[in-house]
Amino acid sequence: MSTTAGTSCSVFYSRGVGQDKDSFDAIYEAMNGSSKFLPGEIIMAILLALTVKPLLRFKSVCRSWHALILSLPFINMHHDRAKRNNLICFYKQHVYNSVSVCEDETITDLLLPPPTLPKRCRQIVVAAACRGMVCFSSASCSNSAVVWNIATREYRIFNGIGRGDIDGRSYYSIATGFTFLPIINDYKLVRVIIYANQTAYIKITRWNGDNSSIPAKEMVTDFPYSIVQHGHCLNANDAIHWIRHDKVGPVLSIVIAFDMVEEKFRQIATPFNQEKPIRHYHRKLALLKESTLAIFGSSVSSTGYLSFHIWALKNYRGVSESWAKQFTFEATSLLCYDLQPWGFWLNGEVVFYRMEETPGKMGLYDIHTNQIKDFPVDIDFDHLLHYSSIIHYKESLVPLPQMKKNKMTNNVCCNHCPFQNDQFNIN
Amino acid sequence: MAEAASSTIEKNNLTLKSSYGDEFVLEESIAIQSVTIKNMVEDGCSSSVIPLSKVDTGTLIKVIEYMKMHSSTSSNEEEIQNFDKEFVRISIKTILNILEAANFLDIRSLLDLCAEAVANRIKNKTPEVVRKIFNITSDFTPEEEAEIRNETPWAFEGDLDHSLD
Repeated sequence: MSTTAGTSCSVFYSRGVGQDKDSFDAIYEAMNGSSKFLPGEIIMAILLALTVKPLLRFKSVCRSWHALILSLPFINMHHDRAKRNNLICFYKQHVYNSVSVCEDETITDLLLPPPTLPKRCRQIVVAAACRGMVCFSSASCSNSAVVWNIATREYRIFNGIGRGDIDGRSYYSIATGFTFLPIINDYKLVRVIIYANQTAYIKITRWNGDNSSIPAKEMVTDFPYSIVQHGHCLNANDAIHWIRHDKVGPVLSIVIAFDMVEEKFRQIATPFNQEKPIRHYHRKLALLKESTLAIFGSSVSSTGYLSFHIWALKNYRGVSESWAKQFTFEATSLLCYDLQPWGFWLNGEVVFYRMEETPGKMGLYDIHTNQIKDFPVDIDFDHLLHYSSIIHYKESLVPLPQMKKNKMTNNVCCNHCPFQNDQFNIN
Repeated sequence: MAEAASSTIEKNNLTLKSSYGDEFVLEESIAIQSVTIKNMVEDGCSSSVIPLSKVDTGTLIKVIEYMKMHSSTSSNEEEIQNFDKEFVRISIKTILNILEAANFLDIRSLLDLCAEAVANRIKNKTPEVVRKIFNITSDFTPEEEAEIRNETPWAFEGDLDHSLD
């Protein structure tokens, strides 16, 4: 009876990377006998519907549940089904805070990853999210980053993922990319350091989902673009994206992308036809849905108000036709004159920041109903707006790499590094 | 909701028989939400009564209630959502029985609904209570169990639910 229906085993192997079929078979068989009356596939279906916290607790129910919850095929399936969340990180009175808002509208105050506790502002930004893990980087140190699994609260401090100052020449901007390549089961943590002399240094730190480390790769390449210094870059589609805003000269905005799979730069023309943006901060990259890169832009409408436009990237052929216009809305519909677009909320609402009020205020604009909703978290964005981030993530049980001492990490980085703290040694 | 089988079974009706021997007549178009039944119909072996030897009468009534609602063309999405919400307001034990039936009959949406409902009911429970609900005997030594607790003590803290239902 129990062999006929329900969650068939073949499903597990289709996504089960990095763990051979036989060992998962053994785990599954053991689980099948754990309950005296329920078949394994039902227990599996129930456990897959749980969030991470109860799963960590239920690891202690019995050996077969423990083995299942820690198995890679289970972790992968669980992540695929997890609910979507928004992580909001912001400074409040110079202390870094983080809050998570789930698509079911539950709001959770998160315990911060310990290395971001210093009282002084350390210019910490959320660089990327990937498989339940969020990568923090800091504009004050080009050599380090923290990868934090939000749900399991595990974190690793990575020192030596870039390099420090070279020949007394300091960097102009840094960017961090973080992605997972499912076919080879590899994680890539990419640091791009851009120098004022139009070169870029790139270091790619990798590890395998099976916990084997892979030698890092370094390269130096030309980077003939001037991007915004604090480098608001965006991770999407296995690439790091920047907008080039030239403040002088008749040059159109373009998007620069570092493809983390092929490990090379690409250029993408933007859909903007006017040479200079009305306000450069109206041009912003954001992630619309899970893997659609979108760009905001503005123009002056016939009524004299600002109109905002959203285009979505259809392909990486690089031409301005690669973008398809999604929506246009007027600032009047938001009852304000000027705003800074921030990105998208869980159901595609536009997150915006009202520029004209002090302190400024975050809001959500539903394009389809033309309504403004309150931002679900009451946060004071008056200081250090620059270092505040909103990023989509899903909870996961994905483990962080085991690190050997003095190999991928060492406790010496630089004086400016916010991610070193003797209290928090890595196991 | 369910009628006893009569001698005049129409061509597009099927008869489902519970483990207690109770028979229920159901339109084929409703019953084929179950992939197991659909396969039987397609294989031409549905002319006789379909025996469900592991599904008791009470559970079968619930499953038929679910299938009828979900194949109804007169109910809108909101009504179905409300129905689903009410449908799982029953004891965990009963949901587990329906889960087993949904698994055997291969009704994916019912399986997902019940799995989610059980997950919601047990998410704040202690491992001890979960063992009782699923009739599991722990094979960890107390030391091993303590070790697992110590890996993530925060997952064991807070206002945990000790009730069995």
